[in-house]
Amino acid sequence: MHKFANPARFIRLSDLLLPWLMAVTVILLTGGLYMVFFASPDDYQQGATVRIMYVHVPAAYMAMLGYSVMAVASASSLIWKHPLADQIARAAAPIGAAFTLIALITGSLWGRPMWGTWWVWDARLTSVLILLFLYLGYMALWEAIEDPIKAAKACAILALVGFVNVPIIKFSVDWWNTLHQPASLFKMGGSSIHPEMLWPLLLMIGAFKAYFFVILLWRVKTLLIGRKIRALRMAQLGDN
Amino acid sequence: METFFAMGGYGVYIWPAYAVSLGLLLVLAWQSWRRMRQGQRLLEKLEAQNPRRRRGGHVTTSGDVG
Amino acid sequence: MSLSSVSARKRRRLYMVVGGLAVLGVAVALVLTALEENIVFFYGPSEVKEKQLPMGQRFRLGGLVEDGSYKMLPDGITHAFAITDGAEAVQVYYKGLLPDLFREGQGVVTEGTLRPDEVFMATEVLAKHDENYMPKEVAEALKKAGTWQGDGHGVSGSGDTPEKGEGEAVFKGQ
Repeated sequence: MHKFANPARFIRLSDLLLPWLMAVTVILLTGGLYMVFFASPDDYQQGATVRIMYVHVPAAYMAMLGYSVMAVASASSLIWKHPLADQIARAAAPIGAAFTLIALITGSLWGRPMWGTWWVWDARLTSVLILLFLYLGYMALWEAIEDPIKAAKACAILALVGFVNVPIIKFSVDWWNTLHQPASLFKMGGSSIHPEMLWPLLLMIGAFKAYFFVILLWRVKTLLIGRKIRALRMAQLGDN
Repeated sequence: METFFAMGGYGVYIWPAYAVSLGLLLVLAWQSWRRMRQGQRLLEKLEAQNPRRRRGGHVTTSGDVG
Repeated sequence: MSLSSVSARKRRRLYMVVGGLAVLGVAVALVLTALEENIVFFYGPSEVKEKQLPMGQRFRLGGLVEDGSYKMLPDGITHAFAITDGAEAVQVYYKGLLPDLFREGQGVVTEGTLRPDEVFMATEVLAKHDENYMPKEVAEALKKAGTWQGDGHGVSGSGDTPEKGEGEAVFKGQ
């Protein structure tokens, strides 16, 4: 594990991975979008609006995966003081927030024609809105605390406390009566999506996942570079 | 063609959903890339000003996080 | 500082994080249980009958639109249908636009008040869709083959699940 802990080695490894990840993102996204619009059938109940699912479900999935990455990184920062953990957690936040926002907006655009409303305060929708606020609060906390060590610690604790929301989101549709339908993809006994509709969905999930890691690596690199710039400037100040 | 864009009357919901999603992802990618390039250029400039401390792209692991 | 003391401190931090999360999880679970009444988005017909909700109080009623129950009242603007969970059914009147997904056998959530004659006067009707996605032809083929188990089983009312709601169109892997 600590083999990748050295920031210089991390940058070298990510430079090696990035071209591949970017290619995978572009290929999966192109293939996924082609299938969504040209090679997938209308739903028997929902007609063409089922196409919103192919962006809504992957975005919602990434919103939760992003927060899980943030929480695991925060835990390894607090417990093992892993030297890259803070940067990974911090880099994941804006990406997760973007996916959460996408899930909320596309869900609203889907809910209006199908449910008959843009928004309801049911357990699923409300807990996802809370997820967005957790992301935004986490990002604000990093900016608010000047001392980077203190900021890292406070943010890691916030990320871990907020993690209780993730299982609540996942199981909200099972625990309480909600307007939102139960899970289709990740559920016991296999998915309840027809294969013709499952393929574009899986391609879009793959594309979003590859995109997530491209941006994550870019942002971790940016944070490491920023740290080095600050160290260099301090050294220069000391010299003069 | 027109029926394709109409999406059975749901085009007004489907197209904005995709426009907003891809737009947000593109903006985030562009912003992340630009900030990384800016950082890289600044770092190169600082290292050129201070060649004594240059250690072949090795990033310091000391104290300061973030 | 010896190596063992470093790992001892790591272990202590691990216990603290795990313990903290466990305590937090229990606290949140307790709060959510206490607040269950407020988190539940709607009541099913059985719950409504058994709870004896006070007349005139606004609440949401959800379930399946009973097959064959829909009709337009003679006034030409009031939709009348029954919401069922398989065990109990409640008659609903609603004046207004129905959502696209509204149909018999499909899930709905309505908001309104109960009249003394036990008719639910809805001011809002939302459609609830289930978690099954399939092309039209496949749905028709399933119906023809007799393996269809009814629409709208996305709705789980109260304790007793309707028999017809048990059905699941499951597409295994591939």
